[in-house]
Amino acid sequence: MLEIKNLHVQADGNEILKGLSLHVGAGEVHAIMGPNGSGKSTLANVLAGREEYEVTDGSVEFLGKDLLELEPEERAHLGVFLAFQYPVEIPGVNNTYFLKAALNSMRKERGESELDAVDFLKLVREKLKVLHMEESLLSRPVNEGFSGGEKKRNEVFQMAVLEPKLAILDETDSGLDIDALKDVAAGVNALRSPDRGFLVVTHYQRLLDYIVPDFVHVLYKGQIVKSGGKELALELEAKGYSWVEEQALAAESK
Amino acid sequence: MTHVQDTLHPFALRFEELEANRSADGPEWTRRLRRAAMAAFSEVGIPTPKHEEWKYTDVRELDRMTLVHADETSVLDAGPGSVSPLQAGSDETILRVVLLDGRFAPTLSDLSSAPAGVRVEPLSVVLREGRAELESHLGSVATIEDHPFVALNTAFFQDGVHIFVPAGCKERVTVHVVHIAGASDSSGGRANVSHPRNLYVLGESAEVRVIEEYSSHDEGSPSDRIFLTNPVTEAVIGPNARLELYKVARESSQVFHVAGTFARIDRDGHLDAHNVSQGGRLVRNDLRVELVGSGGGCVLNGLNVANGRQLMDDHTEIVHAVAHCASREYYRSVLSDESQGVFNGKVFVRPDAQKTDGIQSNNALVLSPKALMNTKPQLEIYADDVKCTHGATIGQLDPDSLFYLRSRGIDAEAARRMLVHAFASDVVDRMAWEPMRVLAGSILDETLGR
Repeated sequence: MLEIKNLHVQADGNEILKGLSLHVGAGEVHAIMGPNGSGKSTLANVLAGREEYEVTDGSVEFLGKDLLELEPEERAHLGVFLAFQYPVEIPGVNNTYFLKAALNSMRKERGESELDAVDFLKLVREKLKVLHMEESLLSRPVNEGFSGGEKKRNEVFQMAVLEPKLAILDETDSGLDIDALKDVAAGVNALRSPDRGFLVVTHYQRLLDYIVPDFVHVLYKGQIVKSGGKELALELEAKGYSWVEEQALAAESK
Repeated sequence: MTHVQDTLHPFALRFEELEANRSADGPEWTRRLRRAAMAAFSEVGIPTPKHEEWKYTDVRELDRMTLVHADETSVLDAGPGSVSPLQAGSDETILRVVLLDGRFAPTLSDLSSAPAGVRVEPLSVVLREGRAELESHLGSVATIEDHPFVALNTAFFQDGVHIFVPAGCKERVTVHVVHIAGASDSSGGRANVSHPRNLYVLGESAEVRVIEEYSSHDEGSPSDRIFLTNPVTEAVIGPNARLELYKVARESSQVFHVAGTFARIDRDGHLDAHNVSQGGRLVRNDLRVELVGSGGGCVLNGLNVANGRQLMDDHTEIVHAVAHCASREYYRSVLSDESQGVFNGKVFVRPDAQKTDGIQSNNALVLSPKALMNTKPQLEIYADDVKCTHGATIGQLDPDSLFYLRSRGIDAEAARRMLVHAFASDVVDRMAWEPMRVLAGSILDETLGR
């Protein structure tokens, strides 16, 4: 469903992604791992349509469409969802109001009728349970005053409500305690299905004990330098990112 | 340096004309007050940007305007079909006072349902009857010395609303005052200047809600014609009494709206002053609150929504004269196009005002690169055991918030709208009277929808 070819991306004049290619099929879970500064978050944000990044070369096709041509909201309507590494606090915008507006914009695009307040609340309550979230979070402003764990839960909760076709998780596990991590993973696993793809960006192997990937890719200096199955993550944990760096250096010197 | 004027200012000329025919108009003390006011105005005249309080707000055009006051011979224009968009809930009794160009319009007003003992009357009637009760209050809270436009109002006012609620009145009274500028034709043409004057006197434990709404009806007048609406409101808030005051300015872009609101609050009394400004070429609000009895408090809460080349200027002054009073001040501006905002917030804490608790905040959302905000907090504290804070921000829509909303499928325009409403919600949510929150919401939508 997602086909990234030779993607080059700059931010503030620095090239961050340098010819990245990746294919994600429906039903597959891909983990992207890599050291700090390798371009993991850039990849996630470029796919969601953040404007600060400039694509200088390459292509991204999603469900047969040129993703890079689309506005962020059009990508969302097509089924792209980004769980933010740093979810944004928006004082004055009520969580329920926001989520209902988001869901109804999706439904409108799909030609479905808007959900009324009763049906919406019913849907939302089910999803809250999976994530062990308090219903009171709904009446608060978006992410304002949320703890780190609440913010990340809220991202996965939004994902569960919006039911995207491609879910991108940008370090959703970073900084979480084990309970929150389990909740977040349960939320993601509940969404796994044959017609949905996942791109799980993470710094730590621990997440992959709970969200078991089909493929693991190692990103280094803006390129995927190694791909494999879930065992690659374990190997990476055992040997550390320095192992990848050495291999990459060796490959360069050849 | 002395300032020599060879010709009389148009306002002074007009005043002399009126004086010649004024012998039967009201008691002697009002004539004295008017003369003193005219003298005070003549000393300063229409202020220029050289005056510290008028640095960013240029009203010199008013020196050149041809004055047409509405008078006894004025003919009421057909007027707008509906007087106001503000519709109260069905369970609320509202007294309505309509003023056209500063004059009471009995056929459009409805004062029939005032509770026993409560008086809501045109000021002109009270003056004509020569009732003594006004003398001690009128001009006692609003001062002609510091504010040239208060002086101007005092010299010229024809009418307005007088509300008197006696001590111990157990009903809350809601009064909706609608002022429409440019609604009458007189011998000199369409009236273009008015000085409505309101006086509210609340006895002990009285409770009043007043909505002052300013609109205009100037269709068909030449576009270079300017109007001046110059209202002054004085409020005397007795012990443990509460005044909830809303002021809405939504006049046309030909109107200079220069207003003053002055309140004195006795012990345990309270003022909620909400301000919503949308219309007018220029809206200047001077708002002064004197806390003269311990336990008193006030909340000053304002929303300015400006676009085009509008200027909206709030000058507020809170005087903590005694101990144990609390003041809260929250002003927010949403500025589009080439509009400008000015905020000057003075807080004076006198030596005796220990345990003062004051918060002031002013935030501006600037939606266009050509919009401009000038903000100046001014705290002067002469007591040592007080808690006073102030803060001001001027910013744009946060791009991270915009991206976050759009990434969830909300289109760019709806996302902007959501964030602007969110910015304003801090002050809008503080307005207890629901029709005002609804109006504030639609004002924001109007400015964003253009």
